[in-house]
Amino acid sequence: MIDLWNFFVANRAEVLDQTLEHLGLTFAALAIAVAIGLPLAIACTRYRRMAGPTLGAVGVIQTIPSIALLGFMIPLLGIGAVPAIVALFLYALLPIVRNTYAGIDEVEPAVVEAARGMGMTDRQILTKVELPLAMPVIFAGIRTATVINVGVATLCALIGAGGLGEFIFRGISLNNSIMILAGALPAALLAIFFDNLLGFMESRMQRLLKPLGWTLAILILAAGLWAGSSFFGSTPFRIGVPPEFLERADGYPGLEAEYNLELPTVEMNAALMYEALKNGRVDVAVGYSTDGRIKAFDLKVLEDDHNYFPPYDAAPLVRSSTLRQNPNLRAALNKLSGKISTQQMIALNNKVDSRGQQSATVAKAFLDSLGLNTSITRSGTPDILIGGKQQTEQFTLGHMYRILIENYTTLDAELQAGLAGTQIVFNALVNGEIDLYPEYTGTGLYVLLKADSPTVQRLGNDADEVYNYVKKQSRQRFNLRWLPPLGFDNTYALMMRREEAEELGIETISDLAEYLER
Amino acid sequence: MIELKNVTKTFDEGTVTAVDSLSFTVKEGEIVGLIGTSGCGKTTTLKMINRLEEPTSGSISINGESILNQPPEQLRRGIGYVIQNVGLFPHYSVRENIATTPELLGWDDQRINKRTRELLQMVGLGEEAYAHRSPADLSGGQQQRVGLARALAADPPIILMDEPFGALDPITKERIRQEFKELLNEIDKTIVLVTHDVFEAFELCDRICLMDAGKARQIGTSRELLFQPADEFVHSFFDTHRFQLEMMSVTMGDILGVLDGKSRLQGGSEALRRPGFSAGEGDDCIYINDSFYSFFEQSGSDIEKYHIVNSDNEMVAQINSDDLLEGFQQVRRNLREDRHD
Repeated sequence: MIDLWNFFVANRAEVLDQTLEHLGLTFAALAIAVAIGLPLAIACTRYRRMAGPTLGAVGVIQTIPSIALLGFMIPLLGIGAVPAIVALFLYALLPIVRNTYAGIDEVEPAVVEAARGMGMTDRQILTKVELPLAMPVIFAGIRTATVINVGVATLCALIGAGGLGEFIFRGISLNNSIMILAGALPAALLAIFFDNLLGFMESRMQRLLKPLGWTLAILILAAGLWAGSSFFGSTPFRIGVPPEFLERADGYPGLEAEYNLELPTVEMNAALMYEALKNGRVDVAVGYSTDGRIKAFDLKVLEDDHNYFPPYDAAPLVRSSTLRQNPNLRAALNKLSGKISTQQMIALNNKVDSRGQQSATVAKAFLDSLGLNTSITRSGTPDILIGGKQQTEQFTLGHMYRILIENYTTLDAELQAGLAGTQIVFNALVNGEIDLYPEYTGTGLYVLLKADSPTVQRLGNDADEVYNYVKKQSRQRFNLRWLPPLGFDNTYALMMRREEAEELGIETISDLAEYLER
Repeated sequence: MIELKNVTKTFDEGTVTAVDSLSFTVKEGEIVGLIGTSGCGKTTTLKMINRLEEPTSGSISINGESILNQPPEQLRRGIGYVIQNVGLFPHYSVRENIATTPELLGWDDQRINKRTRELLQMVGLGEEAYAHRSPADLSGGQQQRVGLARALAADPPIILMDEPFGALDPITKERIRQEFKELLNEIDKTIVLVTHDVFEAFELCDRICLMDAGKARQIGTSRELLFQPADEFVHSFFDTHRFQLEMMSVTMGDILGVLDGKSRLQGGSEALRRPGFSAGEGDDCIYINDSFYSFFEQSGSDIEKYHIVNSDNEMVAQINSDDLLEGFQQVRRNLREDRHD
């Protein structure tokens, strides 16, 4: 509790920022949903034939899982606030359209007939009779939409739209529950606050009708302006950063200090980074040097001329007890040591990322090309659980190990990849929930062992030194074994669009820093 | 004056005929009732007069001018409309409900205030107590009175009523009907009333149009429908309540008319004329325009003599109940004989 409080105090500027972003997303989407949903629902009450298909369509949208909907937005609208607002708008549509339609539909026919019989025009019937009578129901719909939007908006951090989800996802990838709470708690409080506020207004509907209308109009206008400014506002040179990288010891704060970089960051899911860079949503992105999309999207990796990043040699990290209990396991895993070059890994990743092949297929084909046995597939209760992070190559490597274990031992292996961050996978390994996963020496040095700077200085940029250090330390401190490296290095990389980099004459990270200073 | 000429209304692309070549005229100041079983087309007919429904063919005119000559909204603002479920606006106060049409017509506040106060008074709801209540707080009867006041608000020359008492319980219905009857006599409007209740029609209407399957079977006074039915349908329509309806359609005046020849009046009519007459003990006083039915309802066994009074409250006759009953039978016989002539 105290920790949480301290976190809030220490990060109050960011908390406030994210809360405002969160509200901005929520209300911009809500405003559009009201502006489009109300007329749509009214049209449905006038042209009954429209009602079925319209209500059906908004209902179907609601059933799309929110993550998937955000995913659909990316190819259409890219990343950032716009696709987030569109997705939130789609979610807000159902309660607003359905309630408006039902509210007007439920107005007693005798009342409408009386109104018409007394000489009201269609417009007057709508504004003087139907809408006022339907208002409590319509308002309840807006209230539902608000609460839904506050909740779903946390997911928008995934596509670089900001909001309180940033803390949540960063917290998840670092396995830091204080940070998760720092995002979740304000989001929950916002939802409760607005639910109660709107509930209060709803119960005093009649008296509040006029001031309410004004407040709503002002809110909608403000949200609209906010959305407009984020949409049309000038976009400065921005860097896309995955949540984990923002907090890692070998991550962004150190990089920023080392090179004296000054540019605004956009937090987004690592998998979306390449697409975002390609589409110009950001100008610089942090990615992995083995990612296939670097080549596919014609991106330029900036040289780390200060040697800020340590070597990141990939190697399987295994529980010592698992190796002891299964004497054949080590030999099976070592079939792959030194077998994958960086170029080969990039090619393998490219097959999955750009050509849409399955990781398992790619893994099997590669092992086949090495002349290894891949024919046996076991199913049943697994003896060995292989972990992995959310990167493409972790899936592919995991499948390779699964195939090797099943073909060169009598054990049954299963993949548990796609865990949401280094810290989570590592803790799972330490606790014996998984038996092994592919890890990188640099990550081991900074994130797992949390080496102090004299040690880092001493090891320098020597890949073998680093490997030996993490191997020894991991065994002593965590009873974990680093098996021999796979042969490739997957470092963090700052990337730009090749065209823009060449145009600006940027080759190295120092060049970038220099360019930004000008 | 409302005039319908060969009005036909079909629904569902001509497959259902609701109103079939209907023609009738409502004279100024007249109350005409449309009666018939459910689905006979009476409500559709009513709704065509204020263009809530448009006729498929035929024409409707008011004071000689086709109702198509002005926009429907404008037409409706000049016609009062009272419906079965009242249809008061639940989000408006009683006062705001009554003020609806005047507001639409753009009256100024002062005029509206004056008018609503007048109307609340007229329908027997004191302004102080009711003006700012919500319709939901009113009883069914009170709501119906507000409904009437709302229809009268802009003082329209024509009022259309669709089962105005249909939603009330029998006791309230009877009371409100009596009040309406007196009120309608005072305000002198041209009224078309739709009802399935023959007593209601007999009590309130000057003429009645009996409809069946979209056609008018007979249009005439209640007495004509009862005693000179145009066909077997009209005759059998009233069979169930015939005796009561006959009593309702015969007035004291009719009875005095047949009795006059037999000199049942004591001392002759002129001698008895006494202004400001009020009945003494053991006697009762009946207006000459009252129906035999209302006498029948009120009469008590302890009353020997009835004083018949005209509209100026002058006594025109004295009579006992046996003679009255005999007179009524005579009138019935005469009316029936007329039918065969």
